[in-house]
Amino acid sequence: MVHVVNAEAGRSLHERAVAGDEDAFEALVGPLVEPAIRLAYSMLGDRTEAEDAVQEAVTRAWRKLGQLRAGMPVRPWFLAIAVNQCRNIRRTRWFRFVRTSDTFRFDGDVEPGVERIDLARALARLSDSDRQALFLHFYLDLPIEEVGVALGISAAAAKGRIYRACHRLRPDLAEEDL
Amino acid sequence: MDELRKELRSLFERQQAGLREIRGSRETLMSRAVARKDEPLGGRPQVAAGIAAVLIAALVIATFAYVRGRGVFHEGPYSAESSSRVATPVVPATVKPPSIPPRTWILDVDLVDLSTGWVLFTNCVQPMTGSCHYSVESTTDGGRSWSKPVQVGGPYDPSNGDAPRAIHFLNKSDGFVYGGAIAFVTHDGGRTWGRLNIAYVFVSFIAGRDSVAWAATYPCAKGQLCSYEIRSTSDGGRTWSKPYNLPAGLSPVEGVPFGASGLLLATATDLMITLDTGATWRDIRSTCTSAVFTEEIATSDGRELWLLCSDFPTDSGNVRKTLWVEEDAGATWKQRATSQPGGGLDEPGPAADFISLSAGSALYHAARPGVMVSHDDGVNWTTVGPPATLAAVRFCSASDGWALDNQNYVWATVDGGDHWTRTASLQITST
Repeated sequence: MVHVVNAEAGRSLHERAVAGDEDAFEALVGPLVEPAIRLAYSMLGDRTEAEDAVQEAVTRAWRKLGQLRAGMPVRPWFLAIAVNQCRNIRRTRWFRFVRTSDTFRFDGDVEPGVERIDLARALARLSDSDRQALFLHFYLDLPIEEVGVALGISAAAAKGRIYRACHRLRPDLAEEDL
Repeated sequence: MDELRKELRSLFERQQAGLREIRGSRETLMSRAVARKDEPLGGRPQVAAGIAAVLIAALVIATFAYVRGRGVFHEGPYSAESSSRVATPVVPATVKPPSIPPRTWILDVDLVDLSTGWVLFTNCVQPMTGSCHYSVESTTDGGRSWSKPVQVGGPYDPSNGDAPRAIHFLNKSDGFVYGGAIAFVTHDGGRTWGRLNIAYVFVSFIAGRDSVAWAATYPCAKGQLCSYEIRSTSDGGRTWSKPYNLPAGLSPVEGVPFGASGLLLATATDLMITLDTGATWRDIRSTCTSAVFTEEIATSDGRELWLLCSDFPTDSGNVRKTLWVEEDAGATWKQRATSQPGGGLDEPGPAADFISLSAGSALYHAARPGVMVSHDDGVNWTTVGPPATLAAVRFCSASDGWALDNQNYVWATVDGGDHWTRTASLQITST
């Protein structure tokens, strides 16, 4: 879905971007804009706000580029900035979870079938952090390690979070299935 | 597992359907973001105009929360005199949803005491034909009955993402409804609303309690470089002070009111504080390192300042957390705890709702069950109930507060967060 670039493999791009080369920066971060918008939309439930958040994240990424260490994958690093920007937007509001709940409304759009409706409801009952982990892993196809970086937790914690969330959705799942 | 993976992908794809084709906006977004690289962070991006709409895609389950005492519950610290302790939180016997019309969505909820609250809702639900309207209903009996809806402003075009989003009351009379580029004020408990009488283009936040409030606004159009402005009111929003212009490059992120005239302000880079309703400000250098990922601030009195720094994840994915406390009005920060072994703080992870209740005491919650509390200046921390992951924690005094968990249950404490009791599940759902 997204070409994975890390600061090692993309060293020349990284170095050029740090030196102020906008084309290099776009080549490094540009492919990550779409998944970032999708992630932001899943957190904010509003396209305009999602795009605003990602635009801000891109600007912050430009300024924080010097903090990207060699070997560190660019994708979770950038998504982490986007997640943080979304959190900043949400923390300015009361009842932040209200809008998060908004994004998981499926009535009227759900295909017939009790199981799908049940899953949608179960998903809506998960915590924000659990939904974000599932979204990153199952929708954006991030490996467990990158989910951890993007959410600011260890890989083990990310795996545990995804497992627990899946277990709440399907109690018969085993952790080995992940 | 494969089946669950497939079903989740399908659900997420449906949720993302509102975005449809977004590739076309990538180039625009990138070029605008890079063009802003030398501007202050936090300024309003230029994305929105003309792009797709407000896609409020959702079933809203808004939970009503409880608060004790006189103050407003948005901001953490409260003066001791506003506390009115009770042994046990009081819960209304029955609470029914406000009778808002079908196909409307609750956007925000606010209460100023156990009985008095407001709900902001809209008919702006996709697919939307016609105009969007935003309305407020109120309750004065803990949700047993609700007023008739009162429209606030509008109508708005469905593509206007700057429409009202938040509601915040200072007391039973004075409150605000605001969105990205609009703000309204009421002085009669929400029965009538008028445009907020200050000059602004964008609104960052409105915070306050009793009759004192703070507004952080941006006075220029998107893409135009300006200083953010901070104003205060001491009469419930009827009149406002002259604006204080934040230094160029600083954008407000969070404001923590304290006392009768103080505000601790977090900007995208550092902190600022005023003790005299904005007449004078003092810059406070953040002591978080350049590797900081998130900063959380708290204060109960404007003298003891708390700063919780979460660094950017390391290669192994861990996040180093460091707690700093400043007790000498800005002279020095002292490190009180870290997330390293034996450092006092719990496992890595972003903190939320970091609140200082009184001198020496603070608490926060994270994306796991419970609340972390310290009563010894931040040196030692303990995890206390509720045994659930929380969506929000607020206090209306140094002792009394409440929390909402992700299952929409309300928890209350009357001892500064050491003990919590589940009091109710108060769901307000669209009918």
